[in-house]
Parts: sequence; C-alpha cells; structure tokens
Amino acid sequence: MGTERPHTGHDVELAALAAAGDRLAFGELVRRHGSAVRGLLRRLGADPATADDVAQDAFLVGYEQIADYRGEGAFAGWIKKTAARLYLRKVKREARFVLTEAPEEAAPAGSDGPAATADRLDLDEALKHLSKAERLCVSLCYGADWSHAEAAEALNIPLGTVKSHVKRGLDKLRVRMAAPSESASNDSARRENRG
Amino acid sequence: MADQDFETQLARLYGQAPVFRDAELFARQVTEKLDRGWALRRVAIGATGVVAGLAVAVQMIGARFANEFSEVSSEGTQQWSLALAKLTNRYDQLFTLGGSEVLWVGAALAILALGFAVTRLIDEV
Repeated sequence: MGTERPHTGHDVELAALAAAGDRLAFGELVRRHGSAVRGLLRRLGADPATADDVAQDAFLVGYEQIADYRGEGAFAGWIKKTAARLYLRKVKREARFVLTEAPEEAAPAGSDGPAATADRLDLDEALKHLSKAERLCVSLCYGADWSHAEAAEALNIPLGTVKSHVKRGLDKLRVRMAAPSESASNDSARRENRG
Repeated sequence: MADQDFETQLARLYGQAPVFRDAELFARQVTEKLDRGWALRRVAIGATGVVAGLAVAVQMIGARFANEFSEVSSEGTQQWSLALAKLTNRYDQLFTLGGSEVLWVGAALAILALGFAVTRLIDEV
C-alpha cells in the first residue's frame, strides 16, 4: 500500500509503484499530467465539464491498466492516448456529430480577420476557427500523437478523409497563428492591393 | 521546410499543458475516486468471504441436522419416539465437543465470518 512520504521519482518509477498498488504514487502522476490531459480533451473539442469527466475516467482506466505501461514512451503520451480513446468512444456513443469529407462550418472569424488577434500563438484560440472534424483530427495527430491511420481507424472514416481534415486544419492554424511580423506584412500587402 | 517547422511548433504547443487553477482539486477528485473504488472492492471481497463462510457453516450445520432427520425417517414411525429420544439425547450432548465436532466447527466458522465482517465494516467506515 502507499507510503506517506511525497513521491518525487520519475514517471516510470511512479508507474511501477502504482502498478504495485501504491495509489499515492498514482496520485502524483495525476497531479503531474492532469492538466495536460484536460487540456488535450478541450482541444479535441470537449466542453470543460465533459473534458474533466473524461479526464477523470482516463486516469481511473489508466490506474487499472497501469501494468500495461512499461515506460517505452512518456507516461503523458500513454495517458493522453487513453483519454483520446475514451473521448472518441463517448462522442461516437452520443453521436454528437458525423465526420464527413465535406468541410463543416467553423466558428465565425473575427471582424478584423486573423491579423487582428492579439495573441497569434494562442493555439486554443486558433483551434476555435477549425471545424469540429478538423479540430479533432489535428488534435488527435498532434496532441495525442496518433498516426493518421490510427485516427482513421478510431473514427471509422477513410484514411484520405483524415489526411484532408488534418491538411485543412493545419492550413487554417498556420494562418491564424502566423507570426505578428508576418501577419503585419500580409496586412500591408492586402491594403496595398486594395488601394 | 516551413511546413515542418510549423508542425514541430504545433506539436510543441500541444505538448505545453495549459494551467488550470483547479488542478490540485482535479487531482484530489481522481485520488478520492480511486480510494472509493478500492474501498468498495475491499468491502465486496470481504462480503463475498463472509457469504462463503456462512454458506459453509450453514452447510455443515445443515448436514448434521439432515443426518438426524434421515435417521428418523428410515427407522419409520414406529421408532419415532425412540429416535426422538435419541435426537434429544444427541442434542443434550450438543455442547460437548466430542459429540458434535462438526456443529462446533460450523458455529465457529460462522462467528469468525461475522467477526471478520464487523471488523471490516468498522475499518471501512
């Protein structure tokens, strides 16, 4: 059972202790990676309450399956994959939306366009401008470190569809997250063209 | 090249966990759920043990009674009074260990099982 001393070891050590039944060690892993998992779920498109519920479930499942984690990769990556799988299962069960080839309606752009965003490197802000499918596919591949093939299999859609969602999503993010100087020059170029 | 840079930058941004003010609360909720689940599991295991122990005890005690009753029926109604006397006699010896070991063992098991259940319950509560 768990000891009362605080755990300060490496994730792999903590996971080994947790696999031996040390719940305090697992609690430390939750403290270290809870925010990353919650953040990923929100970036996948979950509302805050759902993201927190799924994140909690992911850690509970993670504790049950901790013996499967043998330290081949980062613990954060392992638990994020579990969380993403649970979220996808929930989304599919609730049939909230269907991923299609056709581009979906994304959040409306700000009145001043991409160049008006103060913090251009804010990923979370930029993700709001992607369609649900694009956001999901980009976040699965770059946030949960899934391959396109894994995402296609989990989402039950063709590989090509995932690739096109990712490509469109990346294109939109690239524009939204363009460096201020780059955007400023784009703005002045646009103004010159209009003039 | 620029595409690769952007994708690397994107992966890095995804790797940066946002800061949540209630991060500690979240961790506590998860560990509390883990503890609750573990406590429930222990109670379930304990209850299963108690039920199994009681079942064994009841079987043993029941077997003892069954022997007496089968004896009574096989000897027939004519020997009813004789058997009843014998039965009474047996139960007079009930509390002497030599005459009813099985009954004693069964009762002891039942008491042990109940004791285990009570201590487990107190422990969990």
